[in-house]
Amino acid sequence: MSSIIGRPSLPQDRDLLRRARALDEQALGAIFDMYYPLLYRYIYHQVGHTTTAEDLTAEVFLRLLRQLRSERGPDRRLKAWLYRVAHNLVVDHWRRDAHRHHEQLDEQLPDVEEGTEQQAHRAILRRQARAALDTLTDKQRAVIILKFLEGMDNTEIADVLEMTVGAAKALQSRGLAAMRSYLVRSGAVTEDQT
Amino acid sequence: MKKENPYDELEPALDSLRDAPPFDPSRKAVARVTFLAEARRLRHELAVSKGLAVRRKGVNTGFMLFTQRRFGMVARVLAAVLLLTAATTGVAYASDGAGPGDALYGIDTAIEQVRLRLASNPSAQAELHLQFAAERIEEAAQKASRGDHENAQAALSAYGAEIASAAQLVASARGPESETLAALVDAALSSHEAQLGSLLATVPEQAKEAVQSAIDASQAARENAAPQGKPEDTPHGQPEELPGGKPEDLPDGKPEDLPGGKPDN
Repeated sequence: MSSIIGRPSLPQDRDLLRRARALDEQALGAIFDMYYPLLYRYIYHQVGHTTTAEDLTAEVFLRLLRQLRSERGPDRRLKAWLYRVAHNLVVDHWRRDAHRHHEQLDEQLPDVEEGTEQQAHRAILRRQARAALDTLTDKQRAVIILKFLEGMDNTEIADVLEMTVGAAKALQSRGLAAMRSYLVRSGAVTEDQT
Repeated sequence: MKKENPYDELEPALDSLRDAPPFDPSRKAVARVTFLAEARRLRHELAVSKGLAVRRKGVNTGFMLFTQRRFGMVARVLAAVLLLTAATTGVAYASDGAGPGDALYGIDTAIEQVRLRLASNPSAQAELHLQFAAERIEEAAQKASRGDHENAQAALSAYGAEIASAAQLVASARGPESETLAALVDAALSSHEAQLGSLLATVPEQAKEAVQSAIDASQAARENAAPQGKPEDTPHGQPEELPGGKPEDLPDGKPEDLPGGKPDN
């Protein structure tokens, strides 16, 4: 499957969206198949829990239907709209869950060809990086994840989060600075690196 | 010396976060079936609310005007074909909500047969059978709620036929597709059993046997559809390779606080 992450827009989106507005099952099925893996990944990166990520991903698509039914929903940029709904669902999820999201972080990651020591090092770094991510504000975290884990450019990020490109860049700068500061304190990044 | 780009030193940490565990294909399959079933329900709702009568009236008026202008035999035949197509489409919409005993139920099942024939592969066919099976449960529940136990029973027996066909498709599937198909059928049937369980609790005594038989049929179909031997790893849900995602130039100076309002859905 070719990656569609990071592409500013999908040429077939407009046609799919037109057909989806008429609740065409084939078009809706294609949208589901195309975006489910991407949205699942984004939500997983936010909540760190597979089952929660699967539930929230499914909810994104049901919201799409509800919006199409009421003749609202995405106008042209389907991808940005879906990510925006996913982001809002994540924020709502956090507000409901006082214990925050990464306390039960799944660690069932795909096997990699690494030695035990390397795996252990990566696992520790991952935990520290996740903790650093948790120190960010909702919007800073969303920008960092969309940019560095999902490969979006600043224009797309601004579109998803409904802000200016300058604001997205500023959030990125502050987010990276906060993460670096945390990682220096925790020893994952040494002082002389900074 | 301080580095220009803070991403460089954070790259290993960010890179360690890129992997995500794969999603469960059976949960995805259930989400897809639910999503499409909801779309179908909404489409039906829309068709009813917008009014079939308006559609028919419009087509009939057009037909009369067209023929009155005496465009000749070819034009009349064309108009008749158009009328037939439009009327059939309308009937298709209307019949989608029909159940056993309803006038349009035969058309509903005929359309389902056409859709099955047009399905491109066994997986799509199995998905359709599961979708139709879910419709049969809804129809059974509707009929039972109106005290029409005979047609509720007919719907439940049609349910059994649909899931048996889905299980058969799983049994004859080969290769990596078979496992996904089995997971899809298993998840959908598990959901059906929960619905039938609720139905069992609400229907009167005389309808319980039919509901229980449907539950038994579902369990049997799940057993038939279960993959033989140890399942292999599936490629579903594996994360894709991501592009580097290097940040662009960052704004100079200390960024200002930004508005943090929550975007509308």
